[in-house]
Amino acid sequence: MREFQLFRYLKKWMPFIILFFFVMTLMAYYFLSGSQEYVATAVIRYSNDRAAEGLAPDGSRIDTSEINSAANMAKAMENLGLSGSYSVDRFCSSITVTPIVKEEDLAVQTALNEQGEKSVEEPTVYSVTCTMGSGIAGASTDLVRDVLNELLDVYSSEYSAKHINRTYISNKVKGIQVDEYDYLDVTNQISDLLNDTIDKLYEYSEKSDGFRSASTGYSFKDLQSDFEMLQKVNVYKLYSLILGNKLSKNTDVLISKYLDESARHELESTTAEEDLSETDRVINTYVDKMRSSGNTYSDYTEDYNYILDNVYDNYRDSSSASGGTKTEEIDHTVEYDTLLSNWAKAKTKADHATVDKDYCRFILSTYGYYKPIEVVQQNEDGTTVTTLQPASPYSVISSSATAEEIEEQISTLMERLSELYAIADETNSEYNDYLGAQNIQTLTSVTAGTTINIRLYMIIVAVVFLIIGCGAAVLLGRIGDILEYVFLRDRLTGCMNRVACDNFISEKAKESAMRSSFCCLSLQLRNQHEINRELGREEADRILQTFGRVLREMVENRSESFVGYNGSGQFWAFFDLDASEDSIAPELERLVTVINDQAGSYPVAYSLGGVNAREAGTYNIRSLISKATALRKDHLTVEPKSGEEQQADAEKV
Amino acid sequence: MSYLLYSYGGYALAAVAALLVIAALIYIVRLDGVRMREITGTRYRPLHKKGWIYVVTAGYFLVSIMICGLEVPRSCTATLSLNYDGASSGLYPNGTKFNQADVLGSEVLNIMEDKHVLSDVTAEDLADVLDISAKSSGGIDGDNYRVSTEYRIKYSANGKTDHLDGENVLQVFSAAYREWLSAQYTTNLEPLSKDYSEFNGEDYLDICDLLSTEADRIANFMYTLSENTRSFQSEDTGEGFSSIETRADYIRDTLVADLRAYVLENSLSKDTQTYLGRLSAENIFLDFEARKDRMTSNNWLAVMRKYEDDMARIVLVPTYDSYGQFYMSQTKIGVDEFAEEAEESADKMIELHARIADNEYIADKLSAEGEKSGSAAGADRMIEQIEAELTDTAERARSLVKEYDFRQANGYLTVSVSSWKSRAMSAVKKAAVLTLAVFVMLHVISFLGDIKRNRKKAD
Repeated sequence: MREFQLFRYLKKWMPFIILFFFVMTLMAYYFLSGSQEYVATAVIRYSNDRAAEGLAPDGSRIDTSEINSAANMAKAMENLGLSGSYSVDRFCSSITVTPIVKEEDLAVQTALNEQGEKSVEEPTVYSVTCTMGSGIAGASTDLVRDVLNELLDVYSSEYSAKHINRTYISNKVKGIQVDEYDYLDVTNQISDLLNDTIDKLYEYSEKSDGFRSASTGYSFKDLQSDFEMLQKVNVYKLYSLILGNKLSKNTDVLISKYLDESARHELESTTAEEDLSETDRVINTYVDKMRSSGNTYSDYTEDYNYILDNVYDNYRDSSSASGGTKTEEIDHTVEYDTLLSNWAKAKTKADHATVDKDYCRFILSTYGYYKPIEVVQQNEDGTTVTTLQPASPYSVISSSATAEEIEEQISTLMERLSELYAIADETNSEYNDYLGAQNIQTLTSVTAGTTINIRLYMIIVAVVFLIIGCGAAVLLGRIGDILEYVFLRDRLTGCMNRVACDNFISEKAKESAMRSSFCCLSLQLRNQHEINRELGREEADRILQTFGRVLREMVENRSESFVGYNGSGQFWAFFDLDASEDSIAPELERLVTVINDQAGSYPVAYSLGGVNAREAGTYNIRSLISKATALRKDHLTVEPKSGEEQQADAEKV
Repeated sequence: MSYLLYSYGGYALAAVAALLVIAALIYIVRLDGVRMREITGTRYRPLHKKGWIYVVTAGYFLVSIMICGLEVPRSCTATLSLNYDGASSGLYPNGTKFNQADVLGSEVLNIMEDKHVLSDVTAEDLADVLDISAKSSGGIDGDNYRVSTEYRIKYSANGKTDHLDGENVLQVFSAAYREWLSAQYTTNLEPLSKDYSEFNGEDYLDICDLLSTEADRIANFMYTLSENTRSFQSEDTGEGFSSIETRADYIRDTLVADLRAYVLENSLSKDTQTYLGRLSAENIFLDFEARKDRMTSNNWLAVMRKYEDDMARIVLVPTYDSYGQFYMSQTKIGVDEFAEEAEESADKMIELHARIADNEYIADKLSAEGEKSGSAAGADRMIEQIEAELTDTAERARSLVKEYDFRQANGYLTVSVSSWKSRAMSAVKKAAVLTLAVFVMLHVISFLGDIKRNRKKAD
């Protein structure tokens, strides 16, 4: 069998290696590109006081699923101009939120769990990751980074609005249907709105620690002052002009409304009084029972001031309807205090209803429904004096004004209110963003990258496939050698056998144009039988092997080479001359020299002939073979020894 | 054409080097490998016979210099450093969350477009050629958290921006982003920019309230800023925030107070009837509120009285007082809370009564016999004076804030753009590396040729 020759196999299978390398590398590239994922990550921390308990500033549980809620994601996509181009759900599913727990904290939790105790520390640091595969059109590191950045921005703002700055200064001025309502009703609505707004702004200014919006330049205190001025100057002015001039779009409707309200307040007062008497009854029954069962503290108790040992929890965990646990505040209020508190509220409600009824009376009296009451007073001297007492102790003085003037003032006031509300809204929005950023700290910037370093992987893949290709070529080549050895080699000489010779000649005969450098060598041993007889089979085989080896060594490393043994001492060799060689003669000489040198001491007679297609002028293999055979010359490896020499050799032996 | 060379030239250069490597490998295979003794024993051909290597290498170097040189104007990087307070916490100067996407957001790009320095490009074109990445960000383990304050801005030309110079583009970006950041996060001075003469249409007492409010607004504005930076002083005037705050306080507490007293003592009003009507309406509504608050307070007091003695039990709680001394506190019972409610309602009622009393006082004053001669004119003069003073104070406040913001904004960020020289050096290095690779491979191939020749000679 042929020797293992790495480069022979590589040369032979070079096209396969190159094709395999390129095809597999391309396939690997497409596979890796298809598997590529773009990942953006940021780390945030909830930094409010109760974050370690898992609670937001408003006491609700921190729910990290709000980060990638559909509402937040839709808003983020809208801000990025991606609405309609991508699915919100798909983007939501690309977000993962993972708590980051330090090793030491984890160790503490594990230790507590082992002892059967529950750790009360909740994670406050979370890693938020956005992962997009190449299945999302246009996925790139820029996209994941921008989506995550914007989502965290939106979440921060929404978190503040939902869990920190929950009161909202809404511009309800727009909802006031000026044309539908009477002047007094519009003014009442504006007044109520202003009162509510001023209260909220006061609350904001107290807790905002002097926050001033960069975009509007206003603080909440500034806005509160402006709204207060509007109420003081404009709203009360409207009241005085409307009531002082008894202006109404429809006095009858107005009067009906306030009569109805008055009746309602009367009813409220009556109901509240009933509630009050019932609450009273409960309280009295409660106290009586407490006394009769000995559960009160009499003056004769020895010493009822003792020092408290324990202070009990404010919160407890209880099962929620969904199957989990929820933390709720425990109400420790004693039932007796609750009853008394209810009594106070019921009484207040009744009293306020009375005041509201007086207000209705004031309005009705202003619009002339209630006439002044004649009151007869008796003097000391017995005479009587009749005076007219107004139906209501309240009366408004005013300058004159027309309905048109009122409408204009209302319109101006509402314009000014809308402007102020727009400023308040913008200020509040920035405050929300500010609070969100203060309560959800960014610990790391958003970093984006790919899961697969395609460049590095491709280099590795290319090298691996090159090695595999080369390995496969070697394997195929060696398998070819084995098959060739088994089926097409002559075991003795190592050359190709007769079948291989016939196949080679048949294949070559089919070629239409033989190269001019193609050569044919014909070598025939002429004294094989003599060698067999005199030296034995083994030596004869050795000589044949030598001839075969020399021919193969000389020919097999050339292109288009073929060395075959046809049996009966006949060798054929075919090969291409190198470009630098123009004749086969030097090769024939070299072959003779080498054979003679290596064949041994016994004279081996052989005839050798060789032709080159160009020199022979024939480009057909069978003709070439014929010519080579015809041009065979006889050679002898060594000159035969004389009789005396042979005898001397024998004597030496 | 030059853009095509820029886009694909680099690949072509690398491909040449790669092909030479592949050719050398194939050559080695065709030579059936190279033995060590051949490597050490092969003699090189003389230099003049290998001159072609140097010619090819020189040609390759020239081509690669040309192609790499095309990158110099078409590719540029800048480092954006954020230096304001809060940058390292991932915040903007106003304390809101920093968003990296804003750096190359549509607003900044629109500003770049609007500058009309970069010809024939739109904001959308610029979005395609500019990229941002954080220079450092830290990991996700607890010891390595870091918010990047430095960002790398990279410009890579495409077909639409091929005519632009990269350095110029990034300089324009630098100016645009600085402008955007300043506009977004420097203080809006609208509250200090009012035209106080608009108040002149109001009644005298309303003018007093409005001027007082404005003076208060300026004082609060200055107070907030002075809390952040007590030491800041104007380079021109030497004034600081607290000095202007003091001026505003003086206007409110002295000048406006004097005006108010003058108006009341002289019973001044531009429309007495209307003003009195307003006061009467206000007092009516305040009285209704006060009555409710009084009733509420009384009801809580009644509840306290209703509390049965033998239903009350207090226990003592040892604790510390606000001075850190031992203190014996006690548990609260319902009565404590009722007292708080009563007090709260009472406080509201008192406040309302105070306002009512104030309004009645004003009404009495305005209703007094006629104004003294010249007093309206006197009030008008005082108002003019206060408005002038307020305008001057507001102007000083605005100037000071602008100066403060200007100094702050200048330090908000720095942008350093890679110079032409450094980019050219980078291109030369790249060309040199590729050329060296080609030079080496050509020598290898030539050496393999020498080995082949030596083998033939040996044969």
